[in-house]
Amino acid sequence: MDKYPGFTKQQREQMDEEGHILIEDALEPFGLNNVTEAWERIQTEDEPGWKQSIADGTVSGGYGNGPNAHTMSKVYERDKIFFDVGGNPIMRPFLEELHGVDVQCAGVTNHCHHAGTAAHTAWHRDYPPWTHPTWIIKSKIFYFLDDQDLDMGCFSIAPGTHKLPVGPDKAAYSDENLEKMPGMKKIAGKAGSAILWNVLMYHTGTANTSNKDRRIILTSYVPFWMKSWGASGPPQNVIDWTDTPDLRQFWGIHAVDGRASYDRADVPYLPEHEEITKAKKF
Amino acid sequence: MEAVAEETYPGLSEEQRAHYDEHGYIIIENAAEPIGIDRIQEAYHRAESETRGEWEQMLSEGKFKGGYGNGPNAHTIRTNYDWDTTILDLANNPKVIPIISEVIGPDYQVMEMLYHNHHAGTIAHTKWHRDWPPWKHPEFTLKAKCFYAVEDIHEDQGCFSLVPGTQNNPEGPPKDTYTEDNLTDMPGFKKMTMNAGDAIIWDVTCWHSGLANTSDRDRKLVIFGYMPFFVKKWNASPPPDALVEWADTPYKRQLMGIHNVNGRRGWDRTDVEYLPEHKILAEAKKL
Repeated sequence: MDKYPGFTKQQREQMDEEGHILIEDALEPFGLNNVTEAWERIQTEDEPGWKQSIADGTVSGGYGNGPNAHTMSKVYERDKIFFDVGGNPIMRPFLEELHGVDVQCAGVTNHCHHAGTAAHTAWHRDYPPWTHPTWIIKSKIFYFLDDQDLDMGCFSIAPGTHKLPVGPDKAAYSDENLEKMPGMKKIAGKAGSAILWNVLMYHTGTANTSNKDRRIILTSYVPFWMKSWGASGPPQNVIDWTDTPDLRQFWGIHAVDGRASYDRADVPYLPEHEEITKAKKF
Repeated sequence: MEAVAEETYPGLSEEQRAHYDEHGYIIIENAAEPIGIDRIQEAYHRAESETRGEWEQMLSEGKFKGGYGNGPNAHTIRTNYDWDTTILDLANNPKVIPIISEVIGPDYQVMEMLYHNHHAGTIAHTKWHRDWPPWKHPEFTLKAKCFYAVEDIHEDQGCFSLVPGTQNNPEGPPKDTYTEDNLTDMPGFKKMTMNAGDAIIWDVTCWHSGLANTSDRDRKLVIFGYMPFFVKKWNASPPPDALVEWADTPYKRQLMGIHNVNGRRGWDRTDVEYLPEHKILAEAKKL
């Protein structure tokens, strides 16, 4: 039996029906303490700039980066441990089942939703409702660095809404009505656990009324044919770390399973990958 | 899609949209009218003529490469953007773009542009297949192609053929059952005959094929593929200068997959400078 076998039947059913599963001890391959130390190091480095951007009104970025949250983007480029978390071997079998074998990691981001702050986001879904008989268009994994209590501005979802053709009614469920979304579920979990979820599911964060920061790592996954690196190619350390065809594909550089025409032409192939590519028709 | 075009060409009628949703395709008569069929024919024949030598060289070496059955039975003709603005204008055809925007969504881009010749007296250059996995959306199609007939295409000319409604099948066609020997046994298939200048817009998850061209006339097409902006394009290499120069409006920039109007700023090329009016659009976006 594989060390990390992927979905059980029950987990797969929950993923299909509800749009999420919770996995305990998900950072076990790296050690929770090691990951947390690396997370804190980056926060320490970035926090002055984040505070300054709020003070001078230039703050921008995803995941509600602003007065109520600090988003630390592209951390896989800054510390190998986050590159490894992106490709967590516990999660790879789940991701290949969900997206197909050409799955790629589309980002690793550290995030802090601070103690005593309002909700940093509203109900939304992350992508248009593209569906497939077997696969999903985009998934995310949120790793919890601390025990997640219900008053910590939990990541919150409306299970089953990934099947709906339209997104949430933002006007009806905002501000004081944020927590009135029908079927809303706050995701509590132990430190080191993670939620794997379909980004079509309605989701939000809530106010953190506790005295503890909500510290998480967010990773995201899409098929190889979706834009990832854009115009600027992968940085040299990521190229160096992707030293197998499998990792080259997983980080969106050269496909093993997928069209060669989607490969980065500005990164030399690994010799063994070149053979794979030459054998492709496209 | 510029404002003037929207006013002049309204896109799909309700009836056409229903036909597209049910059958997976729609034929637009005289679609090439805004560009002019004479101009398209001239560009086609120049491109074919300029690339015939390399195609014949490939045939003589027996090393067939390229999509759309490039080989003894078809010539997939690459475009030369240095002189050919006709194909760019046709990609942005104001009669078709409103339809593409409806079918693909407002963040459409063109993924491929080429000419194609399936020669007189040749066997089928392809078999039954679909081009993409069966992704579905309540309104939009992940990939649609638009084939223009450069000259009239009759039933015996190896017509582009499609099985209407198969865009809704979860599985692709049974390739082992319908091989090159019995392509025409496929149940329910329809040969797409067209007049010069007509175009067929179709969902690439429809089962489709080409057939033997038993006539003495070449089957000549201009081929475009359209997809949303979030799909990879210009992955590592920047867009050619000629395309950037042609794309002198925000919507043309989006069409060429450079900077989008309706989509995330994070997907824009950072190695091409924004048009001033596009920069304002991009800076107003959250992501």
